[in-house]
Amino acid sequence: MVGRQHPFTSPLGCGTAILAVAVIGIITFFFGGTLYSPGPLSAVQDRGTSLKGFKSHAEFENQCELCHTPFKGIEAARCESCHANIAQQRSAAGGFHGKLKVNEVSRCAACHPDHRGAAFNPLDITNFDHARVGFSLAKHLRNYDNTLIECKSCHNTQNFSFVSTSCADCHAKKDKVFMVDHAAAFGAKCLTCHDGADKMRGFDHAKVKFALDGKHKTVTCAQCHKADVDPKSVATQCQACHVEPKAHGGMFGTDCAACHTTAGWTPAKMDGKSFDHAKTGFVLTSHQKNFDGSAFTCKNCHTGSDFKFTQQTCVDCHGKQNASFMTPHIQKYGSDCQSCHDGSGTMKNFDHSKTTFVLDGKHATTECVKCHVNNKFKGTPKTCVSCHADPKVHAGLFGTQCDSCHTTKAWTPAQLKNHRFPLNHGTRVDSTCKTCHTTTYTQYTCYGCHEHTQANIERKHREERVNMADLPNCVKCHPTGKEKG
Amino acid sequence: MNESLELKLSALVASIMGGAYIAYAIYMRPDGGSDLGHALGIIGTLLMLMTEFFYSARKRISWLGWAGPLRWWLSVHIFTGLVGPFMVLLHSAFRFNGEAGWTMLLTALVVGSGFLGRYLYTAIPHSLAGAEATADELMINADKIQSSLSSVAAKRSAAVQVLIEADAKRKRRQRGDLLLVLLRSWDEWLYTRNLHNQIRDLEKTEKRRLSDIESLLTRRRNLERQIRSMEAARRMLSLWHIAHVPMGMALFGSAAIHVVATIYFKAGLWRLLW
Repeated sequence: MVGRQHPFTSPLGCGTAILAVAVIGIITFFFGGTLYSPGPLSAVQDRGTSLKGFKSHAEFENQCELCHTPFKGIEAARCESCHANIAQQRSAAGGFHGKLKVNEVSRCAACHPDHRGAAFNPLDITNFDHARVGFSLAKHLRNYDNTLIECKSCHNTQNFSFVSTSCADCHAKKDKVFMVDHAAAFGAKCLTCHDGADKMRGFDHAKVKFALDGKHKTVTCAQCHKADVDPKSVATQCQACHVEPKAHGGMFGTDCAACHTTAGWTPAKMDGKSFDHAKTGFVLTSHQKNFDGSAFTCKNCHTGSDFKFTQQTCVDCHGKQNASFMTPHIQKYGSDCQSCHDGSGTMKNFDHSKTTFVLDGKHATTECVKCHVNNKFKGTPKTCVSCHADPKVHAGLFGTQCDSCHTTKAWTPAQLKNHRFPLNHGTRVDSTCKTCHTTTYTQYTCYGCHEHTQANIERKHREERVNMADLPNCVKCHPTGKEKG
Repeated sequence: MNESLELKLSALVASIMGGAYIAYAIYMRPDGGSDLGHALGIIGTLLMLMTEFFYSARKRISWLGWAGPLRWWLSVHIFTGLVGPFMVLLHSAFRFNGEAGWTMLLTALVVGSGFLGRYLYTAIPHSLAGAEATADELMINADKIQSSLSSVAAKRSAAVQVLIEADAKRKRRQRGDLLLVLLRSWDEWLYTRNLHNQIRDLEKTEKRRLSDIESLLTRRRNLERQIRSMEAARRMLSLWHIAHVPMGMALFGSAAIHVVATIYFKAGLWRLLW
């Protein structure tokens, strides 16, 4: 430790502190608790009434213990030792104080503060937070004629209790017709719904046949109820507050509840079920915008008043955009657009068997674009070789008539299933493929068995007026191997 | 560190709290007995205790050196010593009745005395670590400045050398110890203004900046003043302690009674405790 002494260890400092405490103690001893008073007590008298010899709090300014219990604060019992009438109300659960909650009524100072100067009135209603008893005076400070509302206007009984008819009596002065109707509709117990702050605490909106559920729960009263508008005249139809969205295209009418609930606009339901356009067999993937870029609405397709859809709308719309394509397209495929198109551009609904090329076997699972390159559908070649190259294993022996041996189910096993010339031709039992097909399987000769001479054959066929160019192609005129046809 | 940073920060915090208090007063009734008012009193008192205890402890207990330079703790001391009493002032709701009013009065006196103490403290040169400089150290510094001044002046014109010579021979104000310390800011302002005007005039004829000369002359003058008034300032600071410490202790005694009284009457936040 170096330097000067710390004040807490300084004899001069500690001595001064002790002196200060001693001086305060002496003053307290001789002058009582006034020294600790946060301010003068009220000198206001309540109609000159004397309670236990005191007409105001100021008269016992120096006797703190009359109100303050040491280490316990202000207890109701101490107040009630003078204010016996309040004690009576509490014990009888009557009058104003008898209606207060237990934890409220025991805190007298919460409503009746003091130590705020001699002129301060602890009974001044402006110091009392009326909301503590469940009814705010926020809207009840002045009468309709702008005069101050007095307590007795509502608490008009001898014991200061509140009578609910006092509400109706006063408010009927403003609008008797409304009050009569209102009381008939909701009853005469105003405080059941009203809390004085216009919060309509506890009000059951279902009583007016318009239950506030779902999203309506969080809507503020003022969003529907406007000033000076009879609450009963507020329209309950959806369109009174909600504007039909553009996407509806004016097609759905005003019965929002047919598809929507108060839980939210989406998901919307149709006939009580969540609506998914894809389930109709036509997705809207490619129908979000019109050709001019404007929003695509339901009405674009469902033009009928009953929301019916006719495929003519497809033809009309797409025909406007590209007539040169649509006209022959319809001529060729008809106007039942959905029989081929599913809205996603996959032609999922298209029946290929309507063309001259049936998609069966392995072809059934082949993607359209494998054959129809660059979206060209017309003129697609149908021959096998346009897609399938002759494999090396064929060694160029089998030609391009694949279906003679293969099916669309698979390349293997291959089998000779389409030999147009009867294989039971002739009487030789030792015939093999090479008997006729001496070089490749697309070439043949009949001379392996039929030992003709060229000159005789030419002569005979010339007599039959056969074109000499066809002479090597025996099968052309003898497809069954018989002399006659 | 900016020497007035703690003052600026204190002013900022006090302004924010003052603004909040005014806004509260517009809509509510400020009261030391309310939960908010009581909280202000408790926090303000704790800050005042910190003001007294932490800085003193750091200053006197050598092994607390790890806790940072003394200068920082003086800044914290000044901050808590201003903001704490301001919170206590708001806690009083500007009603100065009885013992609580006395406590508030003592608080005001101690804060005012604190301002005076800081003014006296700054009259004594300190190292960056907060240690008081000795007369020998000041003399060594004065010699260094003088030699710097001589070397710089040698390269300057005759007019500049005349100015430096005239400054050395200028007439010093004859003041007693008390006024010498208390009016030092005023004297410093007069000297600085006069020197500045002369330098500006000379710069026009010399056609070059002379801020280095101005800086060296100002430092030489400040060191002269510090050497001359250091002992007087030390004596006054000791005297100030004799008054300030008892006032501070009386304040804590009075505040302690105020706390006991609120517990006795179960006022404010104490009612939440039992």
